[in-house]
Amino acid sequence: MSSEPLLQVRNLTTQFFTEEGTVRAVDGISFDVYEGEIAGIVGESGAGKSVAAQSIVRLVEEPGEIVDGEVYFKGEPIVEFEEDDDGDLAPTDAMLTNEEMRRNIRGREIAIIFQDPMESLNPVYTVGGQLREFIEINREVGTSEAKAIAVDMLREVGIPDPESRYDEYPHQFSGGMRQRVLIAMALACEPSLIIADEPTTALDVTVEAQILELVDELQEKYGTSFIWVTHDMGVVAEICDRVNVMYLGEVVEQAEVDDLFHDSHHPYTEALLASLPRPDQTVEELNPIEGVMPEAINPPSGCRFHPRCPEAREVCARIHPDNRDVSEAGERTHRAACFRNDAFDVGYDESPPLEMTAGSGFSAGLTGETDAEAESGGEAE
Amino acid sequence: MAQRDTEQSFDESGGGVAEEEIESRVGLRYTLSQVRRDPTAMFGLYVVGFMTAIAIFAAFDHYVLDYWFAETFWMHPHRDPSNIQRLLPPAWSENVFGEGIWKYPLGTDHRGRDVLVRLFYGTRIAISVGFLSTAIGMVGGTIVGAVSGYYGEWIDDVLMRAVETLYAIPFLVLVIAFMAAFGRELVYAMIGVGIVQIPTFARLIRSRVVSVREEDYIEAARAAGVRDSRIILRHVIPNSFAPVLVQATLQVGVAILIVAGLSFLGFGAQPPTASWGQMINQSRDSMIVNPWFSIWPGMAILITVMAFNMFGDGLRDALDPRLQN
Amino acid sequence: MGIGRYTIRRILQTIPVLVGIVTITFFLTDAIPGDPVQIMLGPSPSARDIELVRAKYGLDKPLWVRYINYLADVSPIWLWPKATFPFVELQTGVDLGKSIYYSVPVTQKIMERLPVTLLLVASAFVFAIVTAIPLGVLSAKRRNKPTDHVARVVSLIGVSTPSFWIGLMLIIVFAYHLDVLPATGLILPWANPAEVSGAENRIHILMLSFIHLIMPTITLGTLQMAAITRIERSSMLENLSEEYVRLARAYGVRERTILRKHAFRPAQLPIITIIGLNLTAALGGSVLTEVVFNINGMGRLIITAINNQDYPLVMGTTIYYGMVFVIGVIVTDISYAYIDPRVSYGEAEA
Repeated sequence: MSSEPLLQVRNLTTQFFTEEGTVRAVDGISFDVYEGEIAGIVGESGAGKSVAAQSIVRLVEEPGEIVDGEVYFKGEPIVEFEEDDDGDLAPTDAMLTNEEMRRNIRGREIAIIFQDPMESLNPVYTVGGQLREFIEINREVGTSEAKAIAVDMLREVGIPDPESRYDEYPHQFSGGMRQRVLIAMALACEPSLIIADEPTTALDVTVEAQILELVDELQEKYGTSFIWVTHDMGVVAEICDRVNVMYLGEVVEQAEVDDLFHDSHHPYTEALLASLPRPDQTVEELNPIEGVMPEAINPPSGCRFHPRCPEAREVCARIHPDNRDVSEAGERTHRAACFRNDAFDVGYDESPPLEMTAGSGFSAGLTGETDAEAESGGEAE
Repeated sequence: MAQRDTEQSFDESGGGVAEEEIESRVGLRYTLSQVRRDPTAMFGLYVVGFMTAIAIFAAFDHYVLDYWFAETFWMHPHRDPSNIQRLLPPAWSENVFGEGIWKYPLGTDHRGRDVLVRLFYGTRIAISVGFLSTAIGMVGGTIVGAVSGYYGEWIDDVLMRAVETLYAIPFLVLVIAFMAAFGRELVYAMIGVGIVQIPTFARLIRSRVVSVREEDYIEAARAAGVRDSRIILRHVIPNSFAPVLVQATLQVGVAILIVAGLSFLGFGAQPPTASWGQMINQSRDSMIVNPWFSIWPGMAILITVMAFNMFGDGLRDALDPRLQN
Repeated sequence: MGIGRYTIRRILQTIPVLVGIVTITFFLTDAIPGDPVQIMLGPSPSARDIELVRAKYGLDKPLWVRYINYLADVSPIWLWPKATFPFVELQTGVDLGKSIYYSVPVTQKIMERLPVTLLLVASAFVFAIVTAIPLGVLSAKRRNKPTDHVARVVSLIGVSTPSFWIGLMLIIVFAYHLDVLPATGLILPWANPAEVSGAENRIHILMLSFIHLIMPTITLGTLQMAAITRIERSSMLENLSEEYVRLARAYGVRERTILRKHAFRPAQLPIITIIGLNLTAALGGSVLTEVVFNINGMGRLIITAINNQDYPLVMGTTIYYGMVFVIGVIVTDISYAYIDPRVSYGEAEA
C-alpha cells in the first residue's frame, strides 16, 4: 500500500433542497481510500451512504446538490470548493468539468455497481451489447476487441458458456448472474476504484456469499480498490479492510476492520455489532438498536445519536462531537466522534445521564432489513 | 354499518384487514390533500364545479320551472324570438346580417335564438351525460373487472374476451349502432357511452384485483370462510378506489367528447333541446358568414373537457408521485 | 418461444373476439326498428312480393338460424353439417350479403370505401407520431423549462378539443378565408388521372391527394398527437430515472446517447401499446372527420346504412371496423415483441 491515498474525501457535504426543507444527507464527511484496499461505508437506512457514494462521482440527482467539501482522486479535484468574492462557497476553477468527469473519470477510473441488479441492466438490449458499449467507451478499443474483452470478463466472473450468453437479454439471467454481469462490467473497464453500492442487498444469502467470495478473489487478482457500501456488519467483516461508520450524514467512527470489531469507540458501532445475528441466538435474543433514526432534515442537537444512545449524558445533547483521532499506540488511525473517549475534554464523566427518549416499541433492526428503497427514496425526494 | 362489517370480518379473519383498509383510505385522503397544492388541478376543479352548478340550475329550470326562469329573466332557449334576427355576430362585431347587439352578447343562431342562452342550457346535456355515462361505465367495469380478476380461470377468459370485443368496435360506431337499434334520444346516448366505457374500467380494476387477490389479508379472509362477494365488495374494490377515481375524472372528459360527436351526427339530444355538438352541426351552413356561431360551442366543450383533464391529471400525479413535476 | 410462434398464437387469440364482434353486430342490427323489406319495396307492396323478398334475404327464418347462417357466411372457413358421408361440408369464402340501399354486394361497397378510411387513419397516425415523439422527448429533456410548459399546454388542449370542431375551424381559416386548401373530398394517391378532374398525370394526383389530406389529417391526428406526446413525455421521464440510465451515466456515456438510445428505446414500449389501443378511437373519429370534410369513406357509409336501415351494410361495416382494429392490435403487439425481448420469450420480468 502506498502512503498517498487513491481517493481523499474531505468535509464532503451534499444536501437535498426539498419543499419540506433542506435535507443534509451527507454532512461533512471525510475519509480516504488507499490503493488496493476495500473501504466499507456502513450504516442504517437513510444514513447517507448511497448519497455519499454518488457524490464521489458527482452523480447526485435533483434536487440533491454537492454544496461543500473536497474530493481528490489521484490528486485530481473531483470536488473542490472555495469562497468567492461575496463569501459564498463556489466550485473552484480547477474542479473537473462535467465533460471531464464523463470522459476521464466515470467508468474509466471509477466504476459503480448499483444495488439492484434486476434494474441495472437495460431490458431491451442484450447483456453483451451493454457490456461492449461501456468497454468501447472506457478502453478505447474497437467493437470486436471489446466483444472479446466482454466474453473473457463474463467467463472471469463465473458465467458459464459466455459466448452464447453474450447475446442473451437481461431477463434470461437470474439476479445473482446479473450482479456478476455488473461486476464484469465494472472490472472490464479497468478502473482504479469500484464503488459498490449495496450490491448484494437484493440477493439471497447464499448468492450473496458467492458474490462476496468472487469479489474478494478478483480484487486480489486485479488489485482494484473498492468502496463497499452496506448496512450489514457481517458483509463488512467478510470483505472490508477499513470501515467508515455513518450515522445521519456523518462519519461517527472509522478504523481498520479488526479494530472496529474488537475495540469500537462509538456506542452506535457497538449497537450495530450487537444487532448482528449470531448462529447461537434465537429471534427473541436479537438486539436491534432501539428507536428509529431521525430525519436528516432536522437532526437532533449535539451528538446526533444521543436520543437513541444508551450512554448519552446531558453534554451529548448540547455539544456536537467532531470525528477525532482516538488511536491507541500501535493502531492505525482510528477516529471516533464520541465524548466517552479521552480525546474529548467536554466533561462527559461529570455530566448527568440522559433519560432515553426512544424505544417506544419500534425497533429499527438492522438484521435482514432491506434499506434499498428507504435509502434512495427517503433521501432523494 | 360498513365500519361494523369491516370489524367483524377483521375479527373472523384474524388480522391485517382493518389495517389495510385504513391505509387505502388514508391514501385517498393524502392524495386529495396533495391535489389541493396543485394550482392547475384546483383551477380545473373550480371550472368543473362552475359548469356543474350551471348544469344543475339549467336542469332545475328545465324539469321543475319549465323554463319559467329563462323566459322571465332572460329568453327561452328553444323558442324562436318574436323579432327574428338571424346569425347576428357577437355584440362587439358585425357581419353581413348586421351589427351585434348586447341583447345577444355572443350573437344569434340560424333561427335568431340567443347563442349564449343555448350554450347555458346545453351545459346540462354535456355534464349530465358525462357524469352519468361514466358512472354506468364505472359500475359496470368495476363489477366485470372485479369478478374477472378475483375468480380468474375460465370466468376471466370469457369476460376479458367479451371486454376486448366491446373495445374492438370503435366507440362511436358502436354507440351509433346502439342508438339506431334502441332510439336516438339522449338516454340511449347516455347508456351507450356508458357501455363503451366498461372496458377501460374493467381492465383497470382487473389488474388491481389480480395483484390484491394474493395479499395475505384476502387469503386470510377467504380461509376464514368470508363469502366471495363480501371479500370483493369490502376489501378488493375499496383497495382500488383511488386509481378508479382518477380514471373516472378523465373519462368524464372523454364521455363529453363522445357525446358531442354523437350530437354533431344527429344522435343525442334532439332539437329543439340545445346541446353543444348539435349547435356546431347547425352552424355548418353559416360558417362563412358567421363563424362565431361555430366557435362558441366548441370553446364550451374545450373548456369543460380541459377542466376535467386538469383535475384528473392533478389527481393522478398526486397518486403516483414519480410522474410529478 | 420465438417471434413466429408468438405471432401465430396472437392471431389465434383474436378468433373469439372476431366471433364476438359478429355476434354483437348481428343482434344489435336485428334490434334496429323498421322493416327493411318495406323500405326496399316502397309504399303498399303486395303480400306476395313481401314474402318473396323475405325469403330471398332469409328474413323468414327464426333469429338463431339467421345468426348461425350469418356466422357461417362471414367466417372464411366453416364446416356445415349434412346428412350424408362425410357428414360435414366445407364452406369457404366470406359473404357479407348484398346491400339493400345500394343493391351491390356489401363487400364490394366496403372495398370501395375502406382504402379511403385506412389512408385517412394511417395519415393521421403518421402525423401524430412524427410530431409527438420529438415533442415528448424534448419536453422530458427540458422538464419544467418553457419548452416543456408549451408542449404540455398544447397536448392538454389537444386531448380536450373535439376533433370535428378542429376540422370546422380549419375549414373556416384555410378554405374560406385564406382559400389555400380544399374544404371537401379526398383523392386517393393511386387514383386514375383520367378520372380526376384537373389532373393530367400521376404527379398531379399525388399533389392533389396530399393537399386534400392535410386538413383531415390534422383534424383526426391532433387528439392522437396530444395523447402520444403526453405518454412519450412521462415514459421518457420514467426511463431517464431508471437504474440502467444512471448506470450508463456512471460509465461515462454521453447524455445525447442516453437520450437517443438507453432511455429512448425502452420508452417507446408504452407508445406502441397506446397506438394499438387508440386505433379504435381514431377509427371512430374518422367517422366525424369524413362527415366534416364530405369524404366518402367507411364512416359516411355506415351512417348512410343506419339512416336507410340497410341491415347487411350496417353489419358488414361494423365487422370491418372491428377487423381493422383487431389487425392493428396484432401488428402493434408484434412490433412490441420485436422491441421488448421479454414478450416473445413468453415471460414477464423474472
